[in-house]
Amino acid sequence: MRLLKIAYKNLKRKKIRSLLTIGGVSVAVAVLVSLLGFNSGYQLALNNDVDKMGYQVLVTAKGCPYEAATLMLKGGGGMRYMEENVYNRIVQDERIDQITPQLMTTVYNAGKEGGGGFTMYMGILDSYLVLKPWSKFESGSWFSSEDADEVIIGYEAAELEQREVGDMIFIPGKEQILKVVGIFERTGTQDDGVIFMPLKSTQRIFELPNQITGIGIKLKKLSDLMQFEEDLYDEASIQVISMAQVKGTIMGLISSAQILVTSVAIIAIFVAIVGVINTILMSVFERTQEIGVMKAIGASNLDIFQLIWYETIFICLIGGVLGSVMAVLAGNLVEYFVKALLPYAPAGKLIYIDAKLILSTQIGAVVLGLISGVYPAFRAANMRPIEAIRSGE
Amino acid sequence: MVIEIANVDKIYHSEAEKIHALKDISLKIEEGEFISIMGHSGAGKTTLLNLLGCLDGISNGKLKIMKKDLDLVKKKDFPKFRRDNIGIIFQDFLFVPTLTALENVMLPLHFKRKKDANAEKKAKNLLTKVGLEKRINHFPRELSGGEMQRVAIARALVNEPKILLADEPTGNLDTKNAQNIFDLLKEINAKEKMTILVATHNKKLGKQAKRHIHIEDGSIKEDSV
Repeated sequence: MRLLKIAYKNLKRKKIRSLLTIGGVSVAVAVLVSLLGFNSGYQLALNNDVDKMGYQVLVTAKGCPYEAATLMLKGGGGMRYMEENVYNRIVQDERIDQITPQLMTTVYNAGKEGGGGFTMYMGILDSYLVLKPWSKFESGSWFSSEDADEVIIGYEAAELEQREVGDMIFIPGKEQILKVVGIFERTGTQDDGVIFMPLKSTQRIFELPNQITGIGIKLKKLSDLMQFEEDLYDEASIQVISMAQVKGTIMGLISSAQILVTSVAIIAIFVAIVGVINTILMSVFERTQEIGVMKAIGASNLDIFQLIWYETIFICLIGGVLGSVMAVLAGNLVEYFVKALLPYAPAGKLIYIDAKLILSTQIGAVVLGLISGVYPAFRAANMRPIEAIRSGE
Repeated sequence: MVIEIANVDKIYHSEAEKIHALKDISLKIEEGEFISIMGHSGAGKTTLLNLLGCLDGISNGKLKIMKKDLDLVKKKDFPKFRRDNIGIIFQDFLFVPTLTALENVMLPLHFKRKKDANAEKKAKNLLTKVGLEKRINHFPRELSGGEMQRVAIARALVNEPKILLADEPTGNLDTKNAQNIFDLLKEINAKEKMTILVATHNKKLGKQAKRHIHIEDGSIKEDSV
């Protein structure tokens, strides 16, 4: 028979109390796992979104650079426009490896599933595919001409609109019917929800002649980035945004939310520790006589210390496992709320819980048990056997 | 000589007063003796057994157990000293309620770091010896008073102590069960040559021991064979 078995049986003695304490630890662990999962998930999703834009530099019309970058990432209305000749000038720069202009616009569609919503349209050139080699056709092919009334639909948009190659789509408010000539494979980015059109057709249909919203640029050498940005400062109507800066800024914005949630998690962990200490201490006081007898029949202080410590570790370990399971199961729900609350949420899973995170959380739970158990175990171990035995008289 | 007590006092200090629980006690106990310690409640029987069980410390005097001066034993070494030399039986049995009879008997062996298989075999043998072979997997709450005291005896014997201390082992039992338990202790003393000290206020049982020590108000009034 092991001390572990005795510790386990002791916890079963007061089932409700043990379960409530385990519940407290589970909630704290679930919050912690979700938070850490969000931390790595958000970063991964953001990196994926930014990297899959395919360019290192974004040139947009003057305004708030991060708002512009976010709109390019996320889509939405309110884009600022710039003249297409800016593109014609920049394209001459020898430091550029690939470059593509974009015209993004949104249209409100009252008939959209779920009580209406915005549909995103993006005017592009074939250079768009060069910058995004992972964008493959699931069916169909590129536009027949630079000014064709045709669209290529992102994977999710095609599913949502229930469209196949050869179908027609209607742009509300523009009284325009376009033919679906291609559907992209899923990329896991915002592109999946976009309807692509030839740049010229977009300018014509949306009455934005010679206008674009952004220019994506990939430089031959990343080390030229600073100089490249500086050289474009002279262009009065534009601004240059490095995607690395965008990542940093968005993560900076998110970090303030993370600090808040971290504070909540720390409080939850603190409450859990106090709960565990309280439960074990109560259990120690209730078993004072029993502990005295154990000492009288040969248990050393270390034996008693271990016994009580095992009980706290059991509580925290079981709480840790349950908390991790809760975090995994409730991940989708938490993600739904997080996406609703955040000003910008990247595509893909925002809460990324992997084996490493689960394992480190379990280790953390054991450490929590070790810390919580020290005081009750110390109290129990240092009881004088005669006084402990007499306490029950 | 297994126990040597010379001019031992035990004084308890409370906020209001000083209680002289044992006064100038001197005793010499040889190996294999069966001694009853008699006296009224509060006479000092339990206090004396607590001192002999190393559960409490003396206030004055000298106490040697197995030729070891307890003043010289370090506090941290007392659990091992108890494990190796002393078995204790309590009036209220005092078991771990979540463990079965067998597990409760195995407990002292666990603290002695004995391997589980050996411990189980030994504990089963002892429970068979005290007539509880069919009750080994029962929890304390499922046993009668007499059965519980037999389990307590088995637990006290499992470490093969040199000295067995029993504090009112029949106090919670009816006459028949009390006699059975006392007979069992006599049998252990006769077969194992184990030194046994039994505290009891039951004169009829106490007289059955080979030596009787009568304590009154913390002092030995009579020590007879």
